[in-house]
Amino acid sequence: MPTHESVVNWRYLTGTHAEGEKIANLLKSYQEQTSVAPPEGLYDVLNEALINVRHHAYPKDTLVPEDMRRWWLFARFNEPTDSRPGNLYIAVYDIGTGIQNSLRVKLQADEIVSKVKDELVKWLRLGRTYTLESLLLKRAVEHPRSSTGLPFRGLGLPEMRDFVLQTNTGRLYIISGAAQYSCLPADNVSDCISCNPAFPGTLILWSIPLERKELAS
Amino acid sequence: MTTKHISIATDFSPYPSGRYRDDGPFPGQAFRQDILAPALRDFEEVTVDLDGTNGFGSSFLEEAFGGLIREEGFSLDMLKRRLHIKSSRQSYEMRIWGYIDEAVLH
Repeated sequence: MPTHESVVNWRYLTGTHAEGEKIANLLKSYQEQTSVAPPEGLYDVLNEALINVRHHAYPKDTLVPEDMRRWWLFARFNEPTDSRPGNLYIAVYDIGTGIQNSLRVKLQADEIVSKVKDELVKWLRLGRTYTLESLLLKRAVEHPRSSTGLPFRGLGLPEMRDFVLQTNTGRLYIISGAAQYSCLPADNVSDCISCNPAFPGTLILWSIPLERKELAS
Repeated sequence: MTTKHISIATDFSPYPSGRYRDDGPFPGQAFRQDILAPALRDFEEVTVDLDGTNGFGSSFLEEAFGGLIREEGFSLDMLKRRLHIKSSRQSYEMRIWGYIDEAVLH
């Protein structure tokens, strides 16, 4: 039986719906092992991640087999010690269409320019650029925007970013298609870069600090 | 005056999550249609207590409360007079009224 904390502290969930009870039980299982409380709002953003998969990852014309149209959640907890802070790592993955693809339907003017630029570079055989992919992902995370075009949708990704900004030393990475968004408040980084080759699906990764100063009374 | 106190944790679920009914077992649409909107029609004042749950994502809160304007036809003035939010996390109350205000604008 494995005993090392980097192995035994992993948890794994999968599903197709927004299942709050599964998330709550996962967080509870960690809390039973430690007196360090996770930051407020963690349940909220994890649920939003699952809802995004439910609503956007697998459109009707998806080629993904039906039994694979789901989310996977991996989480690992490191207890803080006197010498190092603890961490809670949580990753939510889907093998779906990607955040940007669901937003391509309604491009704004400058996004069309980026698209033309990417296609021109490809047509001239100068390599590949993914300006549009990066732009769309950054905008989806930093401003409410939904593929539905409905003004009251698209709130989940900005909520995830706000949550990490509140933790000061937390980190958020979103890798989707040919772009990677990073939010590292401690380094004042909030940026999106191209990644090539494109990533299959969407991976959202939080690293949440658990400091001893957060010990629950 | 008739009043109604709704605890989401005990009257609905400690695990609210999702926007629409097919998102999962306890979404915002179900809370609004089955509990909140009927209470606002039947009682003069309604207090919604958010404490005791595991939390709320923006999709749940927007659909439950923004939907009162968008889907149920309540007015902002009526909600401000008759709907009260109780929460130990002040940010939830601010977000709820923000979603209601946004729903009015759209």
